[in-house]
Amino acid sequence: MYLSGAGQVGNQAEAAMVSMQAHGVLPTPSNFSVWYAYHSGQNADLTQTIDVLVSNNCPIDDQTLDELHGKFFRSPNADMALWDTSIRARETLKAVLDFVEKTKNDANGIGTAIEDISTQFLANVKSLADLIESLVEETSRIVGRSERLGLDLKQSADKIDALERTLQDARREATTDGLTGIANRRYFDMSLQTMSGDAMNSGDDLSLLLVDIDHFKKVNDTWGHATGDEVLQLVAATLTQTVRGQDCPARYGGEEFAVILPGTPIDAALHVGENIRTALGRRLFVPREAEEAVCTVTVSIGVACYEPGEPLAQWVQRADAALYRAKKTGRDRVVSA
Amino acid sequence: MRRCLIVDDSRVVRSVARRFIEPLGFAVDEVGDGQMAVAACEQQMPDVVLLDWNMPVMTGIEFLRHLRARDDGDKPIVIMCTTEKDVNHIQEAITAGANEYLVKPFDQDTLTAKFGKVGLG
Repeated sequence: MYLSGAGQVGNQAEAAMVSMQAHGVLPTPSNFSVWYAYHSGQNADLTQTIDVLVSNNCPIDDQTLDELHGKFFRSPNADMALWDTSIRARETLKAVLDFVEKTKNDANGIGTAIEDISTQFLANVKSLADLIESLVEETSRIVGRSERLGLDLKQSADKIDALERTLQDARREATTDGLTGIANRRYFDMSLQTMSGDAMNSGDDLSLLLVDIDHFKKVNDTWGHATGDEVLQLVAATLTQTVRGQDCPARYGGEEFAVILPGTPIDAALHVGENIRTALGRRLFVPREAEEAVCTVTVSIGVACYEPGEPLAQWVQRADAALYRAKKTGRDRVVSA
Repeated sequence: MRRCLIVDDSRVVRSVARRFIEPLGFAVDEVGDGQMAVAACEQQMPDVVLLDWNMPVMTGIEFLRHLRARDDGDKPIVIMCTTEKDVNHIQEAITAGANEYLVKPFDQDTLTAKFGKVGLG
């Protein structure tokens, strides 16, 4: 019985690990506890919630995992709740202590006032006073322990705050492209879903630019990868300087970039594409390795506007097809789907 | 004929959803907020409700609680359809009695799959 139980647990743990990998979930202890519970089906609410996320292709990002862990494995602000409880317990104990002290004095007072009461009764009062005395001592010890516990909890809360800040930094890094400093593909995918959901609700136009550097392979082959990296940085900087604050420029992959333009119909998006193209054309590119300006960097751009109800992959594909036509018809141009 | 009530304050969402739901064999009604949905359910209880979350007058989750509190309110299948996709919203909808949860933007395949999962394919 025990062995088959252990085997089952092992199988579920293995299935959880495989599935974590498939969903791009890092195998940290807290992520594992979430995913193991999901696979074992122990918690119907947790299973249903993750099913909703998976079936809707929602990214299982760090924030989501943190929310899941917080919701199902650790009550929110559990440490602060403990801290509050320890303060409340201490206050209650103090009140008990005061009450006991007061009662003891009263009992002694009564004892001295009524002198004709039998010695046995007085002895009883004495033993009651002793009992109360020891209760007071014990209570004081408990109060002392409670204060130490409170201090420990406060230190733990500070550590949690520090970890939280580290986590926020890590999250920022996880959504940024290391080379160019703009949003990475992961952030782009999340933004595409959020912005198209908003566009579907509002009915506002939402456009997408796919920007591909012309002859990038030749740059790499001629000047080396360091120069290739400089070209990528130049294009990323130009995108950032050319678009508005609410737009989302991102490195889509390799030498391809993307920009999501909320509240932008196709004509205006073509105009933005044209601005990017000309802004790049005005910049002479000087590789650090070269002695003189060697070339200008050009890009080809495909543009498509989101149709509410179409699959997002199809929208991206339409922009990609437009980009392909821009390449086919001579490069250094902007073409709409 | 099976009846579907679309509750959403977005005209675009209502028209796209209607386009995908009618081919599944539903007579479709549309309203723009939770209170109008209450009135529609009093007239005729639908088989399925496609329910937005954030709406003026009465939100989707308020309507859902109202519906499930009615004597006959356990019958319609409710599919939440919203841009809200965090764990707390999903949990709140499940607890309030939602049968399925569709995250916007949806397309024909994702919507049809959700209808299929609740036996309405």
